Amino acid sequence: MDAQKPLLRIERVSKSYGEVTALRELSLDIAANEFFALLGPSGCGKTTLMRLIAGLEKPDAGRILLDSVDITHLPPHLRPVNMMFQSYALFPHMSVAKNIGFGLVQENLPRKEIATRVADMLGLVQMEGLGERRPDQLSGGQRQRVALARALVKRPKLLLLDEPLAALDRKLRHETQFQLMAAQRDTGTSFVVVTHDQDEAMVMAHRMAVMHAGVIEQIGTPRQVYEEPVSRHVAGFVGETNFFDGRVTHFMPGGVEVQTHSGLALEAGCREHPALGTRVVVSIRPENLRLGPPSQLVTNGAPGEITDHVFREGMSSWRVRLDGGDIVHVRQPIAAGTATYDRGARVFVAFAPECARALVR
Amino acid sequence: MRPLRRLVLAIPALWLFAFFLAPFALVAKISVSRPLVAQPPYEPVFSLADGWQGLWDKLSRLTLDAYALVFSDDLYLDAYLSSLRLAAIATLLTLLIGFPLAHAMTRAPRQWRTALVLLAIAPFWTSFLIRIYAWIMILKDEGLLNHALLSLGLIHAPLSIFATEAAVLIGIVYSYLPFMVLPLYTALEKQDPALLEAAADLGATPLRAFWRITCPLAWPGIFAGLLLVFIPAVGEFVIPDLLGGSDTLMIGRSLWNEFFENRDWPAASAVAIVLLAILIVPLVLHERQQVKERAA
Amino acid sequence: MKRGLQPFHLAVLALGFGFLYVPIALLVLYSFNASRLVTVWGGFSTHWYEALLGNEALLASAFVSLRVALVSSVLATILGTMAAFALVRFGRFSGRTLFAGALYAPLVMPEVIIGLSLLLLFVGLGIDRGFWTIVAGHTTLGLCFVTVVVQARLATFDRSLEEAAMDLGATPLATFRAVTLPLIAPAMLAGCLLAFTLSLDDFVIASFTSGPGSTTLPMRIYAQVRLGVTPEVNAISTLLIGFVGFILLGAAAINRLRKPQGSG
Repeated sequence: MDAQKPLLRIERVSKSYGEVTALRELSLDIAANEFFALLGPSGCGKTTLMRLIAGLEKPDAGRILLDSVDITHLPPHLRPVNMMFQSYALFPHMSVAKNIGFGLVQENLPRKEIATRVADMLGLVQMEGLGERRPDQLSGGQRQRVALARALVKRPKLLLLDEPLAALDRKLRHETQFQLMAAQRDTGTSFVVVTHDQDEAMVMAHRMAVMHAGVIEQIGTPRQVYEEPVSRHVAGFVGETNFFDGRVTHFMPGGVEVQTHSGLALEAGCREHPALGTRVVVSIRPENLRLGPPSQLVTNGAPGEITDHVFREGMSSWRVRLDGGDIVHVRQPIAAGTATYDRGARVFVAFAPECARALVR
Repeated sequence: MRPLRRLVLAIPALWLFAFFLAPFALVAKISVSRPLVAQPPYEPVFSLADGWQGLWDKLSRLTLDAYALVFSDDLYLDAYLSSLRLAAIATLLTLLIGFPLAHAMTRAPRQWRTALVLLAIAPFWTSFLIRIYAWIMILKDEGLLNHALLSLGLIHAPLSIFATEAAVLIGIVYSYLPFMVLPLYTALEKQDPALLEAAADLGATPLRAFWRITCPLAWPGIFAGLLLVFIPAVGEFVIPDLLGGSDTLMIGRSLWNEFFENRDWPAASAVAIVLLAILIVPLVLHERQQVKERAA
Repeated sequence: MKRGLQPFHLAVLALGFGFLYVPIALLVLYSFNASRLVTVWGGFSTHWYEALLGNEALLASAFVSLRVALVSSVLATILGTMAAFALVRFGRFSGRTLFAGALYAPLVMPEVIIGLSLLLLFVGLGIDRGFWTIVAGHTTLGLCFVTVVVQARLATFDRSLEEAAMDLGATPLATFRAVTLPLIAPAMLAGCLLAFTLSLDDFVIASFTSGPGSTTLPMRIYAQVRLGVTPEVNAISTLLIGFVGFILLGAAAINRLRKPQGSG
């Protein structure tokens, strides 16, 4: 992202409900024409943040600026921001066309213009000819598209999408991801997607923010977040990983050596400069672990025994009980000539230090 | 609270205060006044013109005579006891009839059920008075039931059901059956049929499964139905008046007579206050039930 | 394990609904009886209906009842809807328990108590009893029923529909008009009809709160019933049942028309 002024700026926003703090002095910038994902488990505050942007809630402290205009206290109907609700919130007593046109009617636009723009939107979401249907006569995927059309028809500067794919089945979800990405590209609107599904965020977003307990833990491109998580929580939430708890024993160029509680000595990359003896956790993605015959002597690894082996989506997955007691998950693509290990086999598990991360938080 | 909200709450709240809560205070006040042959037939009547001294004089004229009358006269005690007894029997009978009916409704094919529910509530929309009248027509000594039974040769002399407690019971059960069936149906309909299958799978006989699974789960519905029938039945006036005999004592009728025939307003008020006191426990239970139900 | 409708259940349904409907059916049937004796079927006749038309006192009370029912059901619907909003939407306000209690109590409170207390109120305030005092009594009872019906609808109301409307630029007032009101209208109509028929049928409260010249139809019927079973009463009853049935069917038809036609 360049140094331009952000489209949306959130400044030290806090919000609590009684005793529960939903957001804690949270700041965030979102650029124009960006596909941004707010990712986190339920209760992390991502929905609250989105509702604050839409104006459905008021923050206790902090400011929200859209195009440098303070909109913190603007009621929702005056904000140039639209939202696609998780339940879609289609008006059950109105036809598809009336639903999509609702926002334009509120602007008192001439009927003709409303009709044209509704027709355009029906085309955009491939729903031509279905304008007279009622929401309860549509399939789940069609409803989702009507909700999208209704939210986009006012040409908002920013579109908020609350778990846009949650109500769809697996296969449809996959297709719809690409439709949303296309819609974002075609309209040039900034999309902010709220999701608890890291896959969705990884596939669709240009940038994503991982939230936890009312704060943003990490912001970055999906790849940055995946490859260089800043905290145990981020590493665990985004993708699968293996954790080893331990203490720093040596410094290395660009990393540290960690003595795990289970007795292993592991080398791992580290962005920070923890003091000797600091408690850290080493995170290693399953695809970064390698299995080898037990005789093979490599540093940065440990011997163990296969406890389970499954085959899924072109990958082999093993669970290995290391001799120190740790249980690790190893995943490798199936390729011709790869050695395979069955339950009970003795193996050696190893990894390259640059693929592992020692995390202080 | 915002001004609009304040208004939306205040208008119905004031209405309820004026026409439901405040009148009870008046009933309580008049129950400790003295009867008078005048209009209004009680004294003292408070008025702002009296001043403090006048107010004090009038306060000293308040009396518990009406309550003494209610508690010393066997007629009232009998009427209270008999009301409670008849209402309790009728409530149980309503449950005995209502439960199988509600249960059978849940077993009906799905596309019938809405229609059956509507059929069960529809009598509620027809006049109470008219439905009681229909039973007079049926139960009278020379009524349709006796006529039918006599002509079928099942009985040789007419049954005298009309103007007895039995007729009152029939009337209450008939009038209040929809109030029992509806909550029961709602409770039973929610139950997952797989529960009974699981019970059977685990070795329970159908009867045992019914007793150990269906009934406990339906309890909230049963309880609601019992309250909905019992509370109004205790104070019922029209049914004992039209279907009961001159010896059928029910407190609603005593209150009515005290008021309209004897014109003893303090006594009628005392009867009402004591009735409220008797009903306060089931009323509070009903309130809680409603609050719980509405919160869910 | 057998499920579904077995002969036993069918018998229970037949007996139960027979119990509920046979008396009403007999009542309607005998309103067309040519004979004055209840037990003797003297052939079909509309004689008793013709007799009703000449009964001016009866027609006058029917008119009173209709007017009371109309005014009180409209008032009850407005007040009851407001009360339902307060209960569902306003969270915990002080006095909520008392408010809810005062709304639920009349649902089961013996009518003689409500009637008596209202009468004492009107006498105490020196208000002449008549049309408006009956309206006040019926509105109070009706508003509680309307509240229960509308509250049930509001409780399941998806708030995100209103949020979506506001998000799309509708002011709070426009949101209420375009989204909230149309969606709760069926519940309001149902509550209104309930209040209407309750008022039309009520005898006890009306007896306490009516004054000279405002005798309602149920009061007139009651007076006649006390004198004995007569085909005229059957005829009035049948007309009343028919009238309420007609209104209910009409309301159901309107509701059906408002809904989408099938799915295509």
